[in-house]
Amino acid sequence: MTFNAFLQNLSNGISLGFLFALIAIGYSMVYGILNLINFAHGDIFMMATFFAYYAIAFFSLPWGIAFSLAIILTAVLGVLVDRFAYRPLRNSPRISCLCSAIGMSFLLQNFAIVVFGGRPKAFFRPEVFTKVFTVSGVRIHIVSIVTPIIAILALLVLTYIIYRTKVGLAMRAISRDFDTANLMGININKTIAFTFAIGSGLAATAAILWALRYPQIYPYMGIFPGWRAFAAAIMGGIGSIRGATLGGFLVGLLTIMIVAFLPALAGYKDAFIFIGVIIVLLWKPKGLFGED
Amino acid sequence: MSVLKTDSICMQFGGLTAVSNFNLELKEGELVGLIGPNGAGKTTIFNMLTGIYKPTKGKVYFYDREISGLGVDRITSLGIARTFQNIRLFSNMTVLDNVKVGTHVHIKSSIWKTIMQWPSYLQEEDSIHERAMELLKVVHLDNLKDHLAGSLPYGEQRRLEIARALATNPKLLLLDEPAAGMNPQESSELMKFILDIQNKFKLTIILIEHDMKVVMGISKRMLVIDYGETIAEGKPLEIQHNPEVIKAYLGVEATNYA
Amino acid sequence: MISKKMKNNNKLNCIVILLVIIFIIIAERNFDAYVIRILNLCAIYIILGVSLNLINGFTGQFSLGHAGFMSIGAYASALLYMSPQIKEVNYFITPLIMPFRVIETSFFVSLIFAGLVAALMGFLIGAPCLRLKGDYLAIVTFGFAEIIRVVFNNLQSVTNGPIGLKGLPIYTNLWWTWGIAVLTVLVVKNLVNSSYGRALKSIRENESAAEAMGVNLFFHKSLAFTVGAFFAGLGGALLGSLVMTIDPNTFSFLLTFQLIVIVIVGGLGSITGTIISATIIAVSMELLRAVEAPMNIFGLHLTGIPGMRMLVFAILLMTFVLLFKQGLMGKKEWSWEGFFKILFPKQRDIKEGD
Repeated sequence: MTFNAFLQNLSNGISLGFLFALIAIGYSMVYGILNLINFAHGDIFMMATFFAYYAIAFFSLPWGIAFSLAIILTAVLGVLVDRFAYRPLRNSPRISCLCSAIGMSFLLQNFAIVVFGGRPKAFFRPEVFTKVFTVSGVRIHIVSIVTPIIAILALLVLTYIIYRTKVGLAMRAISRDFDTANLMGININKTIAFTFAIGSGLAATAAILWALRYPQIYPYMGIFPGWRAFAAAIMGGIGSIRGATLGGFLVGLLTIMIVAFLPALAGYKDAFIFIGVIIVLLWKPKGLFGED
Repeated sequence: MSVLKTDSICMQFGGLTAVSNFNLELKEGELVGLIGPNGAGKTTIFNMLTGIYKPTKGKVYFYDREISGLGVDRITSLGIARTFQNIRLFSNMTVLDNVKVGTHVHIKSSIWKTIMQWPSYLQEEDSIHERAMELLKVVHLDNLKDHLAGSLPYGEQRRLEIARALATNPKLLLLDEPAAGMNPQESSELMKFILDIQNKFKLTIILIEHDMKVVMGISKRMLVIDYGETIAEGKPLEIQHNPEVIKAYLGVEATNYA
Repeated sequence: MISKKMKNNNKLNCIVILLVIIFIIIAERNFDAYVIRILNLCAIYIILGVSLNLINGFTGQFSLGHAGFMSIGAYASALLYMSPQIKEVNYFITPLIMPFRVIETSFFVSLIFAGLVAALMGFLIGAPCLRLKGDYLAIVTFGFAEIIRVVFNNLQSVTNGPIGLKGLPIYTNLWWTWGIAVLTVLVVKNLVNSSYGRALKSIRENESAAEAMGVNLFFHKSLAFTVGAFFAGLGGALLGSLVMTIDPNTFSFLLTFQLIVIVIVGGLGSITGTIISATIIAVSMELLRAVEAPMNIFGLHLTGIPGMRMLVFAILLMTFVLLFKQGLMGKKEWSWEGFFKILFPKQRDIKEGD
């Protein structure tokens, strides 16, 4: 492979990695607090793109407002999912929550099929996001530059919230010891709702960046990034934000690099992700980087 | 031949030493009490004896056979049974089925014979049923045989756990705070009960207890554990007057239980 | 005497089997192809649901990998019962490996092969999953099913890759499906109501206590996975020969999802519940197809609503998970005792046999 091609793949891998990281954080946060794998997270990601799409297509909103609105609506959606699918099962056995999460995922997917239609739609790409820079033979899409910037900004804001605000303190307390946090007067439901809001908001941000990069949106689009991000969260150590970020990178880079270096195995790339997850879970159940 | 022999076993979790140099030799028919403050390491000792933990140092011998490092179920099949401090019953199964689970470890029928309902398997089911009912009668729970274990009141759950442990046909029985949560009358009934079953089933028993009346009343010998170390060993009366023990644990009131 | 009760139950069960046989004879003679197809699907869903319930419901190991076992069973059996001619037609890009290229066996033999291969897979997958709990076990089993799907998608010389196999001969009929359904129910029922079954349930209830009572976790979890996978393989094989085409995506997570719905709706600890819900859902799936297809009512052309079927199922699952957590039957089973008590409530058993 030429050096240029390598750099190309590297830049693709890095920006993809950031996207996965943003999604993975949502998984990690919810698992850290609720010990629940939110199967519906990938589908919340998908809904964000449709919110943005319809905001522009139906309501002709300028893209800045449409994107912001989509992120807000998705955060609300996340809160609603928790409220109706997970909150009632707080005290139920784990299997109920698992089934609820799976059911919610299918519900969102098929709701999208019924309401939005199964055929892929072309996501609106504002002029400014179509520029491509060429740096010594390597084509870098402007989205590939914007993604890391926005991702890092989001991470900084998140870190601030978690470590310097009361809500963040509450979140950390609940993830350490649910019952004691409750007894200490922390409003569990509000804090959990907030967690879902943030996680979903981050996923929505990733979703829009994703759609700007791969402008085809369809109801099943959340499955691929969802599982990849989930694998990232697991490998990084589910419950850990740092782990989710690092894991996101790992998965993003691997996804691109495996196909680039071993094109013969391209057909198996989906399997590799799961092999990776299984190996990590069996060998180091707390993830490659341990628990936060 | 001793029933149980431990050879200065230690248990370390990373940098923390939970139990150090625990030595015990039990002869058949003995009833030994294990006492000590909370967190002293008593349940950890039970866990080492039953295979939940492998001692980081030292070995455990059961009838002269080394068992340290064997799996939990294997050790149970060899003849050591236990109850749990925090009662771990099979809540959604009936009282009768809970006890029957205990008999599974010695089952003779293979899966094939079971699925095909072979006559030898059917006979075995009968004898399992009889045995389980006998044990329920011993703990006075036979009239509740079809109730869900989780629906039983606390005291009856404790008795059920003992019946379940007895179903595994043990030679050594480890009881972890069986009197917890009992009132004085229940405790003295429990004392009689433990002596009864020891006699009836020819058991050797180790008893962890906080209720001094119970443990001093029925143990022939006692060990006192504090911070993982054995600080005293001897007859109940000796223990009561041991200054180390009093300092660590008993306090003045317990000496009134003579 | 417990054994006497069991022997009596067996006699009564024989009568039920007899009734099933009579029903099949009548059905084959009188019902049209559409109804027979639905009846076949009912039986297949019963096989799949009961086998899943063994793993998920009775042993408490929440496996999401059932579709993988079905896929293995479908392909394994197809590789045997397809004639060399059909094989040649299908494997036109890459020929099928030997010896399968030239072998053709009876459906019966292919079924046994399918079950055994799937069972082996069940064992191999169940073994490493021992120490995993809850969500993690679900992920790993899902992962295995996906790996199987991807591998099958790529192994052209064995599975014909993404094109799949077409023109499979239809060997599935009411005798096979209901016969195997009855077998599945009997085997699982006998297993679950035995000492081994109590051991499985104890694992579900409290693993550490089960182990302390002498239950070997590895053996019993493997048992559940292996037996469950065996029947899933049979179910997959029957399904393959019913729908005549299989490809790696036929047995997707969607199918596993439907089975989860069946098991939850029926009740995680009840074979009877699974039988009832499998039947209801098999029928509903077909009836709901009508909602998805375009319809002509009084000259009005209504375009179907695709995706409605699965939406309805997702809502159904959510409703049961949130409101009827125990499902239809909870952990209760049909028992002849219970049945007779309902029929003759005044009579009391003088001899309890205890």
